[in-house]
Amino acid sequence: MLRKVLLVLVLVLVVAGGCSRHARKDVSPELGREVADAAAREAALRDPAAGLLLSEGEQLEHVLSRTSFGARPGDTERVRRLGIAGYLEQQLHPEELDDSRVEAQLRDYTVLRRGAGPLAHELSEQRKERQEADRQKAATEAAAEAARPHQDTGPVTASQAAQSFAAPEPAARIPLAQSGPVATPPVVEPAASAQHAVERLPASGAAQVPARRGQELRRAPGRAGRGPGFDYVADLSEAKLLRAVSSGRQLQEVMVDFWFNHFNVFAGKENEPALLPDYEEQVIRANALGSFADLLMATAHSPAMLVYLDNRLSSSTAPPRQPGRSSAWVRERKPDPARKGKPNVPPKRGLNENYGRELLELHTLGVDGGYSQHDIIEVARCFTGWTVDQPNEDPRFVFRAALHDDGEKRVLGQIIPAGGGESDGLRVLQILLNHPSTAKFIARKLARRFVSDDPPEALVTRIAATFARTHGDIRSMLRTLFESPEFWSRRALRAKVRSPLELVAGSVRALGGTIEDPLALARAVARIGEPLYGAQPPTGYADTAQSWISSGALLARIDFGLQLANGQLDGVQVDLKPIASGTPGPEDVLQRAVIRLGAGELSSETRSYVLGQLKDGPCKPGLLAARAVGLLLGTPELQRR
Amino acid sequence: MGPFSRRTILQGGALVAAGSFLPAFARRALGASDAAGPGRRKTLVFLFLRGALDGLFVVAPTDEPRVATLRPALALPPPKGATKTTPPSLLDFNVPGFGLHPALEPLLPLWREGSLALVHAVGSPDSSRSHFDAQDYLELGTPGVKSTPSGWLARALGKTQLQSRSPLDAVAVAARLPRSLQGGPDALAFANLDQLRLRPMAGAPGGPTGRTQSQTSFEALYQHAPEGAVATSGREAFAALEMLEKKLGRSAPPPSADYPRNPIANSLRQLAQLIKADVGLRVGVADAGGWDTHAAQPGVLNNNLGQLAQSLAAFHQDLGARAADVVLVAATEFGRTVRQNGANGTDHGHGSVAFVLGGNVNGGKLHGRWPGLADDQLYEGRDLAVTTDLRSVLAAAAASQLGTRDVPALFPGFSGIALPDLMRS
Repeated sequence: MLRKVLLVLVLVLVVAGGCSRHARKDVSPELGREVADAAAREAALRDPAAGLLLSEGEQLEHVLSRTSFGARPGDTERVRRLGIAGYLEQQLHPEELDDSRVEAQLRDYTVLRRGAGPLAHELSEQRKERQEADRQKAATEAAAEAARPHQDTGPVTASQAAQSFAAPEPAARIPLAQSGPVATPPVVEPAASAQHAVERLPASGAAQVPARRGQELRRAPGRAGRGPGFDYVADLSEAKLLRAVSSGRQLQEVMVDFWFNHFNVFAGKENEPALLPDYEEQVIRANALGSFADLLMATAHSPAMLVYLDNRLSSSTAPPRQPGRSSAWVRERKPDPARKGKPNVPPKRGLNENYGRELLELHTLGVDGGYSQHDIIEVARCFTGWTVDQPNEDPRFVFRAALHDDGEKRVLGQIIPAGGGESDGLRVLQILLNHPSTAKFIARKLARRFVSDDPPEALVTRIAATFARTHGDIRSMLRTLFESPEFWSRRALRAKVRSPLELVAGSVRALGGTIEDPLALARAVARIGEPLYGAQPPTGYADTAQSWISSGALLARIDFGLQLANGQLDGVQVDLKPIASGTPGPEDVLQRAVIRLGAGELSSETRSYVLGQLKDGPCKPGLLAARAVGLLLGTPELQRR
Repeated sequence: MGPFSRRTILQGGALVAAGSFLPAFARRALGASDAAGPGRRKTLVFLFLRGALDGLFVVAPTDEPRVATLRPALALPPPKGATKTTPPSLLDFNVPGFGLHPALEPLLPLWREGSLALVHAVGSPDSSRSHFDAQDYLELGTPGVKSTPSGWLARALGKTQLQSRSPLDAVAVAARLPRSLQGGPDALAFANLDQLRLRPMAGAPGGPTGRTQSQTSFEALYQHAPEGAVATSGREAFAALEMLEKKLGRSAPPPSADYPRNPIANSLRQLAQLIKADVGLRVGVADAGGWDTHAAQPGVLNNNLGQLAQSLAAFHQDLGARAADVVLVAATEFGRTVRQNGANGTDHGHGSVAFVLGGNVNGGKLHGRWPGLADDQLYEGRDLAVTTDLRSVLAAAAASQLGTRDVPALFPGFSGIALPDLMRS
């Protein structure tokens, strides 16, 4: 009987789905209309100690805070009209949402569409010119200072150039890297220049606002220390900020941010600036709400990942099986003008474990996922030969059989027979996708992003079950999340500290800001501690509050709020008129600002203190509004979502 | 403090218990007991070389024939003299059987005067080759155990007898508070000292007056915020700001050394500034990345080691007489494979090298025991073995600088002792 009903239900759903939305390939059914209410009620029943069930207003605030970079004016009303389930389904299908406005804004960002080939070519040409200029400069200086002892930090030597297709790009040449943290390896002059880029921010007061706009600064040619990849990463950062602030496809953007961090690639390595636009657009964004299997596959094949985690350099230690092929490898290489006059020696052979290790530890199983050092070596053997063709001209994935270790491997207890060639790596990915540790690891990470830093185990188990059932369908896992009582529990409400990107984008969204120079916002994100594309270690940025909040970062957060409210963030205007219109008293201004910022419930202490500061503050409504917003953005309450 | 903040304080205070809204600023000013502030203190600085530094590349054995066969692209010719040569060779630093990488030349004077020591084949007993795990283990001070609630430096600080606490007892020059300082007495993290200031609010006067108003306002806001990571950070930040203002004032004196322009130097310069200003710094932490050399190691490390050496030398010079009060330990999470990989790089290994610099250091000596590079001497057949537990190096430094001699309290589960002979006293 039950089975019959279910069958009918499935048929109805299939037919309904088939009629209305041909593009959809949903594995799990759409969310029920009253999903939020039901789950909230269940949450309150299951866990009475957590407190009352969420009110409608709180549900709306909560869902917006988790599935977007923060509510814009009018968002709450819009979601109320659509219904929470309707809104979520819309967000789960970004392709059906019209986003032409932000797409028009992005039209100028050609870096997103030019493709890795032209970018890599341009970058390598620019770098060659620069190296040549550096060499000449060094020669001149050496002649002038012949008496001084020889310094050994000069240009890359011939042997180094032979090892790496481009001189390693120092981290600090990426536009937004900040000084100090783990993310930046020590380098010579560029470090100071990147620091300089961050320090260009006005420290305080309108008088110190730089006369030139960020755009001009950035485009100004030959600006000291600006590396050749700077513009690509700057454009990519701007596009990310524009989307985070203005795109209607907010959940997609949240997931792009999430998956990029999961499959982190650092802009400071080699020619990553040229590879990152394709990586983010074609690999991450294209699969952000699709299937984890596709995502894993796409990252494994991406030149960006193959370069970042060195798999492109990994090869069998044994001599190639067919002797004829070893010279074929050399023939396949396109002549590189930089190598002119140097002997055409094939690079040294040898295994590189970097990708194998991080694939297991960070991309799939998790550090406690049950693998050994032996598994890492075996996985690395399977991926030998997965490399990048023409990295400087037209970077593409290529499998080179001559580099592949074709012997038998044993990965996590499973035999991968000899002679598998390219399919060895695919077998490994399949083993990892089917492994329960992967389901659990991804489930926990999603729950941490959407619920709390320490998510309930029962929720993690359920999301992991969805992963296993749907072979890693991301939409289905998100639906499991959105229909869970844990998501709608009062314990989850404002339980997360906003990441730097969430804080910056969310503040601008709340204030209906208009952006002339998105780089100003990207720079603010960097100053608060997480420069975009600037996480050097493969872990990406930590996803818990404990690691985000530090005294210095908190002051930078507060200062950002003041800067934005004061209109001192060059290139970004916020609209305070709705708060300042008429001749409002301090109470009115506070009330309006609280609503505008979605500040929800301020503690009575915060409220009375802010009010005191307003009563004591300027008379002009515009200034009063700015003061209210600046104070509120810096409150402990507004650091949360 | 102007009439502005006073009035504000009264307005706020009327709503809660009278006076409880007074910012720490004002309360301390009223109490005015510790006007002199903390005086000259001993400081321990930990520089975390994150990413796994190849110790064999830094201090290279010259009479191990296997080096030339296992890592031909990484081996340099033995020392030919005390200064750099072309092509580069290892430096003679007066240790038979070893040569120092030429990029470390700026450290030779410190080595000769005896304020720099090196420890070889140092590391963790845990076999993990995951950066993530091994860095955690080092910072927690408990290899193999991740559930340890506090970092080793937090525990060291907690055990330290202090006459008076300073909001700047422990400082990390980092965007985030490192695990080594979590779970103990309040510690401050900032990426840059300049970051520690707020601009004036709208409608407030510009300049220092306006900044002070901002500071006072937000300090009061955070004073009464409900508990949580955010509120705690806020309170620490404002207490530290007050101390900095008192000690450094509006303009700090320029450093007395030429620092190179790189992130390590930037961090060390700021720590030196705090030490010289007598803010009470007992523990300073900084990070230096860029050691994960899976490819093109000679070029990358030549540059990065040079930056490290120049930065350490500048730090020591900048401290001047205060160098006598400071010990810096620079260590990494694990070493790298003895055998080079297919990209003239190295993969994750085991034992590495540690730098110990400072007044009380028994320097000019290579400490530790050399395990050898024969097949049966290598760890798991591939890596330099660990013969000195890094914790005994850290314990020696903590005993010297913080007076914490209870090693098991510092490193739960560790049965070793502080490395003998590493410190002068």
